[in-house]
Amino acid sequence: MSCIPGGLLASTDIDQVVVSATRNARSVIDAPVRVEVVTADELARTHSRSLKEALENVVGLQLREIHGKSGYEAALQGMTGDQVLVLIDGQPISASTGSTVDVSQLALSEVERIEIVKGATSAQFGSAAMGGVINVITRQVASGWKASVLADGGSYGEQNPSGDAMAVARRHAQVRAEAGSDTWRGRVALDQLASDGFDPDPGSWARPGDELVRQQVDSRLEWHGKNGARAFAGVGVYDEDIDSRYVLVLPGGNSNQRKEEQVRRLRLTTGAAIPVGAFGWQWSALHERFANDTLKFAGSTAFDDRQADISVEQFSTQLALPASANQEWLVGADWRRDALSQFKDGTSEIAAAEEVSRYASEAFVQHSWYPSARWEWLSGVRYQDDSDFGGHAVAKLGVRWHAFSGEDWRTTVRAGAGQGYRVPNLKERYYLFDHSQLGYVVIGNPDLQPEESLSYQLGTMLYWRDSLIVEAGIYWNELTNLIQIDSENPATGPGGISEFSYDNVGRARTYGVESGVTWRVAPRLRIEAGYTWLQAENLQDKTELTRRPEHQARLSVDHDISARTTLTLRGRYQSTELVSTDTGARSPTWAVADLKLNHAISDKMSIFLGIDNLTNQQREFSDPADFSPLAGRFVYLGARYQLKGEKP
Amino acid sequence: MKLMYRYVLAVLAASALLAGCGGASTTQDAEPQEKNYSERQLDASDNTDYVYLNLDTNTELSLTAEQAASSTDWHVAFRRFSVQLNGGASGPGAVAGAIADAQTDFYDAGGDPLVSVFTNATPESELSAFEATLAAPGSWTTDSVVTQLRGTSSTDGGWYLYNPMNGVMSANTENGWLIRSGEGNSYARMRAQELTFATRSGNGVESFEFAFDVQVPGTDQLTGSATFSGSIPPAGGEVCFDFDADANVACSGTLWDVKIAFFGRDFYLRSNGGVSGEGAGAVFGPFEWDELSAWTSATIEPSGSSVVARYQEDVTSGIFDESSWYAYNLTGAHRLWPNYAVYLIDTNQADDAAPQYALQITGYYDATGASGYPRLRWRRIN
Repeated sequence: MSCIPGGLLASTDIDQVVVSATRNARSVIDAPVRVEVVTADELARTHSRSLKEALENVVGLQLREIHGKSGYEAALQGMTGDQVLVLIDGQPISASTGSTVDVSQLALSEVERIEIVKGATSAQFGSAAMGGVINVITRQVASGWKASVLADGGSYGEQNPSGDAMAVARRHAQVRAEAGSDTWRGRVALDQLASDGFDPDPGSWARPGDELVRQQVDSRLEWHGKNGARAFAGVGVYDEDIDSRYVLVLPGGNSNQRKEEQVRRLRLTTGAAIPVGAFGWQWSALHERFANDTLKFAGSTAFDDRQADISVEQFSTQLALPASANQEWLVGADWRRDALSQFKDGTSEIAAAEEVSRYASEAFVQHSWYPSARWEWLSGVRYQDDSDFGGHAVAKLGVRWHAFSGEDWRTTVRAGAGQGYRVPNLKERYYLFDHSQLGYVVIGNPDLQPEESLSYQLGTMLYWRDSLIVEAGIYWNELTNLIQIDSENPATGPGGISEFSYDNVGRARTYGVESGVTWRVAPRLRIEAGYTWLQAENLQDKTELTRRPEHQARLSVDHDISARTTLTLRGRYQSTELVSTDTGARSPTWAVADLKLNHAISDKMSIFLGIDNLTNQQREFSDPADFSPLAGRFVYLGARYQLKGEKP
Repeated sequence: MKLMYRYVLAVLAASALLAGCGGASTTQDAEPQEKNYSERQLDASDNTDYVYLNLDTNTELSLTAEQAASSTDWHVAFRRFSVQLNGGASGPGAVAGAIADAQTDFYDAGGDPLVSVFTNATPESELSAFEATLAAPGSWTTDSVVTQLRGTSSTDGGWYLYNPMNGVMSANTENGWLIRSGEGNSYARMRAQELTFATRSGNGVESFEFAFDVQVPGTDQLTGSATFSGSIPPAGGEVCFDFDADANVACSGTLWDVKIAFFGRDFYLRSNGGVSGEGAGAVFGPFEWDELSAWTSATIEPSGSSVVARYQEDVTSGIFDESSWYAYNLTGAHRLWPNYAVYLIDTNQADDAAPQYALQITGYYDATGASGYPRLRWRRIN
């Protein structure tokens, strides 16, 4: 995460090594599946503090607020956070709602890059990846030593809750240190973000931007042996406290309420990569516990004391068989256990039990075949045996063809087809969301069947010299057994309470076009533009799926003003999205731009300035269907000091 | 000094407002002097027990249902959104109600709620309706029994049809019902087969016949059958039937399952539950017979789902049902929105000097958003 300018001059766009295409390291240009990469340089340029901020500018990736929570899910190709797999180094991360990963709950202190693969890749990554995979790759520890301190703070201007536009309403700090010999290396990183929130009307009770403190501590120990053998163990702790203030609209008089939310995550990982003769063997293990407690207040009356505990354990192993001249085989297996418990006011909200769990054993085989230097065929089969749903196999086929080329240009074509298969999560099956005081409950459905999908991807990339990349692709995803809440037809339970339930009601189709241009206009100027077109149809009701904007666009301008100073501009646009099928309410079109400036004072010291949401585009808070940006303009300043040395 | 006084009043008013919104507290907080009405928020969130209120003293009475049935101390009772007055079928008193202001401007010409009018109305904005000078009502309403075995109009009694041309009632064989027995452990599907009742002939109910398919205790299939038939003399009377025993039985206790009765202008069929009997009887229906005849169980519908929770007991109905005080689910959040209708309550129809009140329901939620906490205000008008 160097803040020293110069990233433009390195040709990272195509030579970037990625692992999410095939589970082993490949360059972007050669990978048989299109992998989009958010590089460490991009994270540094844009001062990304969380995975959510890092994903904001990914073409075609939609960040959606998670219903009823302070957090965001990532949607790809019209598929929701439930259908997008978020991984750290290939290992899962707890779904914070028991269902969807909140991408704002991951700080990025030690991230090397983020890889995004759109479309069904389940043959590689397991059942949930129907919409795609977001794989966060952390840095390995280098030998020698390095330490850095970073701090930044900013203001929402007149929307600072204190009412003082000069107050530092959001504060962020990071401390990292690492040291190591050739054999043993270790590091520790601390990251803290504290925000007072923001409030378009600081005098009012409601505060749309929550007051929060997020802290993450990551530590990692690595051993490096001969012939590339290595092993690691990591401990990560994440801790979040959120204070929300909102007005509950009530007939006969609204109620000013408050919600306290606490999140604790403990993540233990270990793994090794060991060459055994010509074989490459890797294994990794994960244990994660995730606790999420909320408590609401009306005046001094506390109510709705909700405590959720989620745990994930996974053991993965894979073996790369000795490569022949034109073939490679990779075999592997995963064992995973998920458990969920949730209590409200001491009563389990899980139907008929205090905790529910599931186990899955999965095995995969992947074959790469290179008939010539131009062609690669990738095929894979993944079999999973779920404790509740039994066995199921999915297949994937991909082909990459370095098609036509000339002296200055070359083209690559990729085509892929894959099956998706998502076992309903524990929440969808067992959770009881008791809002009987509001007249309704949502009840998990233990009889749910897995969702299935068929995904087709076809794309082409054109490279001209080192200065222009043009890409265009089409995608088509067919979903059956889509799990959703049947909001139209609630049953009536005791006391006249409406009972909503998850059901395999849906068939859906998403298809569209993804396109992009990357142009090095000059050695110090790079422009990147992307556009995606999305159609998302509920085939059951012949209606548009909600929360899927038809048009999304991204614009990046990176300008290195001097060897020491960089200017970065990021723009995001999306068209309207349907919010409610019943009322036809739509969220309006919006566009925002961020401006970032980095300046290296010396090799050790750099400072930076940023303005997020330059034009102060913000939603109309009185309109519940308005999902345009929550936060208005945010101006911040920061500094970073870094020291490094040779082996101690 | 005058300014200071105003300030104190404002603070008092503000604190009273806050108290009005505040918490599940049902105690009477200090009110500013100028209020000429009583106010209270009740915890009526229980699904089975009523909360009983004396309007004269503004006190909640701690009564069991049994005690309330013989008490004239209470005037109004609340159970969630249901409201009873102590009279008629609801109690031994002589309390009656009337509608003074139905807030018709909350509804369009077709009677559908105008959402923005509901959502913009507040207790403050509707205070003027509450405080308006109210005309004496044309008539008073006391609570009466509503049987679940009923139709939709005077000519469609559900299980019978009335011909207003000749005054003849005949069986309606197009409808059917599911009935839970007075013991609560068995069920039956019922259809009227025959009815001869020429209401202008003075012959009484000359004959009736209902056919039952019975689901015996501990099973979930309709396997037995029974027939309830008989007549009622011109002087009136009631006949009760136990479909488990396929026999007529006494109209007391929990043994009877269906009662047919004819008294003067009243002619009805009831099940043995709720306000109609001591038993656990209840009804699910009506269904069109074409549909219901395909059912093989009285507790599981053909698609496989349990319908046990769909059975309903007989209830009482009064002025708060005739002129509803709320609209439901206007904004998709399953809320009850008060229409701030103003009711008149006469605490004793037999005594002209008894207090009469104007009463308005201004809310249904406590500050946490929990439902079943009706908030009301009332003032004496005589």
